[in-house]
Amino acid sequence: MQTLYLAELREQVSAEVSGLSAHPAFRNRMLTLGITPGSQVVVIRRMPFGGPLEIEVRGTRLAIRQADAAQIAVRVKNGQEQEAAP
Amino acid sequence: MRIALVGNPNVGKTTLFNALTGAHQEVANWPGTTVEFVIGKVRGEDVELVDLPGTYTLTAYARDEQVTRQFLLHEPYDAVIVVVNAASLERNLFLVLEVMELTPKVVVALNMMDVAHELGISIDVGALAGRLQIPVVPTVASKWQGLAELVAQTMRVAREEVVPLHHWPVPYPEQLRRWLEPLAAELAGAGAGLRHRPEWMALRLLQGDDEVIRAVRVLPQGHTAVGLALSCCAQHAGFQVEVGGPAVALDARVLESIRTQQAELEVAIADAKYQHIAALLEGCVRRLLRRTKTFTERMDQVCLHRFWGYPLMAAVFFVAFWVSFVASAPLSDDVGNLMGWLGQAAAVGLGHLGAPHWLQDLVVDGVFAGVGAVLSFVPYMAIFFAIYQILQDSGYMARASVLVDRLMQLIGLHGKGFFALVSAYGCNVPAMAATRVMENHRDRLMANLVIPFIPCNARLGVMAVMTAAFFPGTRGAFVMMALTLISLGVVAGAATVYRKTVLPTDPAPLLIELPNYHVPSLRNIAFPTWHRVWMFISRIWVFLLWATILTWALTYFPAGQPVSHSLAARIGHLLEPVGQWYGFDWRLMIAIVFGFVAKETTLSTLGVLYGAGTNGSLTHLLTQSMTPLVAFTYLVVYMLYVPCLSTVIQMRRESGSAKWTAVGIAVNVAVAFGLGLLLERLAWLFGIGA
Ligand SMILES: Nc1nc2c(ncn2[C@@H]2O[C@H](COP(=O)(O)OP(=O)(O)O)[C@@H](O)[C@H]2O)c(=O)[nH]1
Ligand SMILES: [Mg+2]
Repeated sequence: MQTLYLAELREQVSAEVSGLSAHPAFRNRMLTLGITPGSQVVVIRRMPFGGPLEIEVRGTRLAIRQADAAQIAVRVKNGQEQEAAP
Repeated sequence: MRIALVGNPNVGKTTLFNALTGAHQEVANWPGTTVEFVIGKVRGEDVELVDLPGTYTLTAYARDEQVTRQFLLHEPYDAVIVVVNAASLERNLFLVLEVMELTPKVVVALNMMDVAHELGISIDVGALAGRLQIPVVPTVASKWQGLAELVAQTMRVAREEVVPLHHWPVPYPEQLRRWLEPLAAELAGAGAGLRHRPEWMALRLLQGDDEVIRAVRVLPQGHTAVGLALSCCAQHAGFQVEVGGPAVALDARVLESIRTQQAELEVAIADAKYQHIAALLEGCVRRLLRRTKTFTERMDQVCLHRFWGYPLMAAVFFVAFWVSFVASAPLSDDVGNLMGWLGQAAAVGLGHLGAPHWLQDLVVDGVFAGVGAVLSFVPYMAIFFAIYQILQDSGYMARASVLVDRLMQLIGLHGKGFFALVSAYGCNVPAMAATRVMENHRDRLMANLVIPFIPCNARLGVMAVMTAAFFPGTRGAFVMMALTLISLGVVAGAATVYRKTVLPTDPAPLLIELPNYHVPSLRNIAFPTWHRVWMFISRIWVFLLWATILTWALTYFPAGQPVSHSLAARIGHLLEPVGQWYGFDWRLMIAIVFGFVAKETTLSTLGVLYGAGTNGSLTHLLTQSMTPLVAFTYLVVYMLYVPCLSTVIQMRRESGSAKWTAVGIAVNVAVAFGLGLLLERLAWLFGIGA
């Protein structure tokens, strides 16, 4: 197990959400869109110049800003670990 | 009988609504907001259907989404249809559960069954309905499939005297039930006037929902319930708090940890819902393992490509704007010409009847010119809004927002505002309407405040003519470029200053759904387009007509005198002291003032004031009467000051606030004249154009 932030997650690697952002409106939005602790996320692609990430959660695709994704902690399964933040 | 239609954005609510109601629709505004919802009559039934704004939850923070919650909480209805996307059931059922917690009269429209089928998702509808214990009707709204069954089931639920469900729609885990159940019991006994199911109130109380806390407080025994909810949280955090007592006074530290507990409970409750959804879908939904990528995935490989996405977006927007400006221009001209011709004909008719000269003149230059000014907006608006709707419904707009979000953040705005800002170069009025894609009210307000700094087609036209007159050849291109850069700079500067001062929030966090691509339906395009154009026309025509008549009267009276002695000239002379700072004569000042009615008229106003035609061409007369430096200053002021009457009215409507509209106008005028003065002084300092 390795814990890192969603913003650092490599593309196409499945991870489990373990901690959410503290911003109340944003947390509400995450929860209702299905980003709950324990849910699986995959980063599909990143926009250039530090733009938003496209992620897949519970069968739907979402776009999230890099800065917001940097507040969501995720856990990567053994064997899928990656080096320190890119 | 009244039925509410709710659902996530983009699930097909409006398509379903249009299919069920046909042309009998009216648009209502939620009191105190600019949020709209549509009401229609179901064909062949005495049933009113309400299409509410799309929402992911009943606990949302965004204003549009709150309207849906407010409606479900406070308006009467007999049943709720929750429209869900069959291709994305897991996420969509979340809202279904939330609505079920609020009311037992729920029917699920399992829409987009065709899409689900294509994606290899098969759903055992009967089993799902059985587990949810409410009717679930599969539909394909865009092909009018399943509608009769949906109406039948809804009527059954609406007519039935439904006994309030005595169980919790979501089986919350023991650790939550330990608090929820006593709290619900307490609320049930809290006295008459409990407007919603105690179970729902208990859930909201535990999460610290301010609105519900206030509603409960006014009940005879409400304080006990509120106190109980607080002490649950406090206990969880390891504090002991006295239950009951009229006002629970807590010190800041305890309050702080209660907030944290409420947030944790919110997560736990959402988590329990998703756990329950997983259990509901277990065995009901099967997904074929797919080898090939879906259509949407393949599209996004290009549309969201880190390189190709951008030129593609530029091409899409170019075509969109080209069609709305270029294709509509001849139509607008035709409308203007037709009005001019009708005016002349009417004047001739009046002449035969022996009407005085002033009346004929009023008809041509006042009434018909005014009507023409209103109608000339129509072709542009109709085409623009249709394209806007196509981009929205197809799913492309969400992608474009993602592509430009980073860029827009530099000026403190949201990616979703990009299209609105770019479209403002065409016309500021529909651009303000297009800011509605942004969910956050402040973001919308901000966009509305800066849009007037973007020169629209009409202003660009006037600017091009004057630039060509004063700066012939290549210099003209540089001047236009400089003007455009100045306007961009002012937009960015104003946005930053607004953010730092009066609208101090980050642009709302971006977390948007990238819906599957769809071919938009004609009905879905036509109705909102027609509605938006009509809203604009019905709101604007009185103002524009009177304003045109007023400007006519000011230049016409006193009758028989040349323009230089008209009332307008007197106003111009009054303004001359201001103009002197910049080197503008009274005629230029008047053109600025009258340009407020409609920017298109500026050239003709200047033509009349300078006596173009008899004394030579307007461009010649203009170059005779001022230096290029004065002309440049004039262009800057002209480009930036209050755009026009229509824009102001639109701003009032979109911001929903007279105060903000006044602020916007004041800032516009101040920036335009301030910057003009600065440029003039700088040029003087460096000895240019003296
Ligand atoms: N394939 C398919 N497309 C649909 C269906 N229902 C709606 N659509 C399309 O989905 C898009 C969004 O629909 P709309 O009614 O605007 O969604 P709303 O945001 O919930 O009001 C439009 O392009 C519709 O044509 C359906 O059952 N099947
Ligand atoms: Mg809709």
